[in-house]
Amino acid sequence: MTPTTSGVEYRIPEGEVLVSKTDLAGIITYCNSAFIDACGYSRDELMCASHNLLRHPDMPKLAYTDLWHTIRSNKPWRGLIKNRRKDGGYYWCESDITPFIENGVTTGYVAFRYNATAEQIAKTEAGYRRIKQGSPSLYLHEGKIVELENRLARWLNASSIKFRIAAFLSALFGTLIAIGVFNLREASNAHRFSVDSLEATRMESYALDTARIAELDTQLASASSAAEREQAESTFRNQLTLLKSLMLQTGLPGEMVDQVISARPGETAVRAARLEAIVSTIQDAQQNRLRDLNYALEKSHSSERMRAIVMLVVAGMVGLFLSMRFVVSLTQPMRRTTKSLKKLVRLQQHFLNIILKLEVYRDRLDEEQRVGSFIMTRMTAMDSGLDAQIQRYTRPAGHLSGDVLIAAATPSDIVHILLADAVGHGLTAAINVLPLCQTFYDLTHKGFGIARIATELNRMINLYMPTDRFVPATLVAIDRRNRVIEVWNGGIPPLQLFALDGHLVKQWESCHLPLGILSEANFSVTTETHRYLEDVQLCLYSDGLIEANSPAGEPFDAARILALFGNTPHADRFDALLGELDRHLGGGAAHDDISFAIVNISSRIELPAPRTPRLDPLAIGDWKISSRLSACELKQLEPVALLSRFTARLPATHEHNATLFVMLTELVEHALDCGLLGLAAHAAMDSEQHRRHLELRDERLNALSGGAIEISMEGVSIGGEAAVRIRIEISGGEQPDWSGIALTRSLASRIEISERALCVCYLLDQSLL
Amino acid sequence: MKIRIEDGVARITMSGRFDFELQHAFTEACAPLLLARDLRAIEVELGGVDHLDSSALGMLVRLKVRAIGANKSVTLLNPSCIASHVLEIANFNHLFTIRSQPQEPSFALPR
Repeated sequence: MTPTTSGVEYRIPEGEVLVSKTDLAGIITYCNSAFIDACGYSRDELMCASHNLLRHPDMPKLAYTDLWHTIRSNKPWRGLIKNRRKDGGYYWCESDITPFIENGVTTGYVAFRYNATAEQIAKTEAGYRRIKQGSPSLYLHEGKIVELENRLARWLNASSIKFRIAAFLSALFGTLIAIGVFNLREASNAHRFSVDSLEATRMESYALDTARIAELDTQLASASSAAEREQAESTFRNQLTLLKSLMLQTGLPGEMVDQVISARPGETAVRAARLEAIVSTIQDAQQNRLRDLNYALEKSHSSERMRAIVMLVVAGMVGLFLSMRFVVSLTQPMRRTTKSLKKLVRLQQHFLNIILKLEVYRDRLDEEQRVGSFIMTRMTAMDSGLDAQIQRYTRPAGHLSGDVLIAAATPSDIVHILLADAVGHGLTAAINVLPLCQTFYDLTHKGFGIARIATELNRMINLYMPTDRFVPATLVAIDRRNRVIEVWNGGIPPLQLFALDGHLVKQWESCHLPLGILSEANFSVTTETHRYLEDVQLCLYSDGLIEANSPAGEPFDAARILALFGNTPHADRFDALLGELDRHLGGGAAHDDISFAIVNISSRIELPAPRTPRLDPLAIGDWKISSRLSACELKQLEPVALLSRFTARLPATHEHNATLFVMLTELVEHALDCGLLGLAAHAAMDSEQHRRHLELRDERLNALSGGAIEISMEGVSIGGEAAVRIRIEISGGEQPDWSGIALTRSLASRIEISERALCVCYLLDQSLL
Repeated sequence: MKIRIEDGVARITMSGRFDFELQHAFTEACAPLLLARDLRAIEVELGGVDHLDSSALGMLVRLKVRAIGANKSVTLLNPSCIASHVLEIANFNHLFTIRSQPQEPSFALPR
């Protein structure tokens, strides 16, 4: 089945390397994330799958044949491959595939793939298409497309394996037939030669016989009568004539017969001797001829054997030539496995090992960041109920933000906000700010003020962090009951307070060094307060916002924020700021963490809602706590926070801690301000009056030398109902008129004012009020 | 980043972006200066700085702390507009002597 494909191309990003490793059978045993991105399958789908999964139908089979042939012979293969993605799209890559050798044994194959240039792709694509169409002049060698120049090589390359076997066999049989025909001709030649030789030998024998008879006649002529002699002489001469003609026929010298004739009939001895010479000449000739014949037959036989061997060898060679393709490649220029290629194989393995190691590090880092950002998210979760007032945004530059923007409310419902921007960003910055969160929440929930929190945070960073890891931060306290905003700013861009119509009401510049630089002794906790009378919006942001660069390199700039607040209705400002930032960044990444928050502050005073009791009223228990604070303690301690720590732990009052805290705060503040310090109650003051009031308060508190406040709290039962009685006694100061304790009046069931003390009873079951 | 040492004063001239990327180079460059006995003061010239991030502030604080240990002073010179804005927000004027001085004339002044 042909897999479905689409023409959608995926480009491998510049500089990315796709790495995969397979076992000897081509089953994927490792792949990196770039590889996963490129092919579109998940890691699980790829692992243990065959690499064939990625084959694109446009790739010629020959390419894979060449690939496997090359790497199986322990040589590296380099070439372009078109792979199919899961969605049917494709990508081109330049692949370096090498055997993976461990302890001298090939255990698998490693592939490194890079982005291929458009030029390479165009060339290879055309080549592969021609190969697929069956072009005989192209073939692949170790990934390279080779164009054949030689016509024979081209023809051979085009021929099929069947054709090659047929060619081999026909060459072999053809040669055998040729040898047979040739040998047959040779044999008939030899036969003719031997027949001729035999004929000649027969003639010679005849001549020999004739010579012998002539010899005999010579003896007869000498022995008998004249007539007989005459007859013998004539017979002898006839014999000699015959002998001469025979000798001439067989190529022997005829003159020898003439010499016999020329001798006189009486000279029998001479004739006999001459005839004897003729006989021996004929015998020699006969022997020579037999020897020649023997030699010729011998030669013919051995030449036949030699010929057969030579021709069979030639036929074998021709057959091999026709059938084996490597002969073709011999005719072409080719790369040979040399030392440099082995080096390449080693290098690839080295790279793979490094990549594997790096991936371990990356995984570890990812895990650390995952845990880090989990903790960060949990730690920076705001107290529920504050989301309605505080709109905040944090955009980390990396995985983790070094910015912390959190808020929490004290038991008396003063909202504390912390914006901290640790040096640098990422994990180290996050580690820097994380401990701050817990301390901030802890101290806020216990009711400590921001000055005390700033001191504590500074001490922590100074003590535990390296010197260069300080934390620019700002702390804000919003006391909606008194309509006061208090700010400590060390190293954060100015906090801005806007009226609902968009004009800037107040700005808190950074007037302290960041947290952690100064030792506790040198640390300044001076805060700056502002009293608001109408609804306002507070805007705070880290320097990442105003320094955020657009793609053109232009910073976001503080002026833009001012303009935005001026032009936008107050309810839309957060979204408008966010939209403006997104537009400014234009999809680019910010180089630093960005945080900002807009706090909507209503001028209406909201009382904490009384909570429904869940407690058996009789379980109030029997307890009493009392403390006496004189001038010295009042200057340094926060008496309410101290007392509320106790009521927060007590099971009976745990649920009511917030309310108790509010009452206690009001009572102690009133006792201190109006009683010991002799200040007027600060009901309706504008910001300036409030500032002067605070200055006067600080001045008088510093000058305070005598007097004390005694506070006691106890669990009592009033008419069978559980209640808490708070008693405040002022010694060494004026008795205040207790007119400004509106909150306490609204919460308490009974208030008794005696000469020196004030007694408040608070019923735990508020439904009885 | 360029360093010139003259009359017991080392001047580190920073230019361009002074940020996290320079952390290593800056620390490396400062180490020998802090060890040099005859060096009284280290000046960091910030005239050519067009970006200064919190990491750079961290590097300066660390230099300062180590310089105090080595009995040397650290002065920031001619912070560029952008640099001085960042230094101002962080209130580094409480921590460092920040001095603006005209560029030194190229010829030697008579002593």
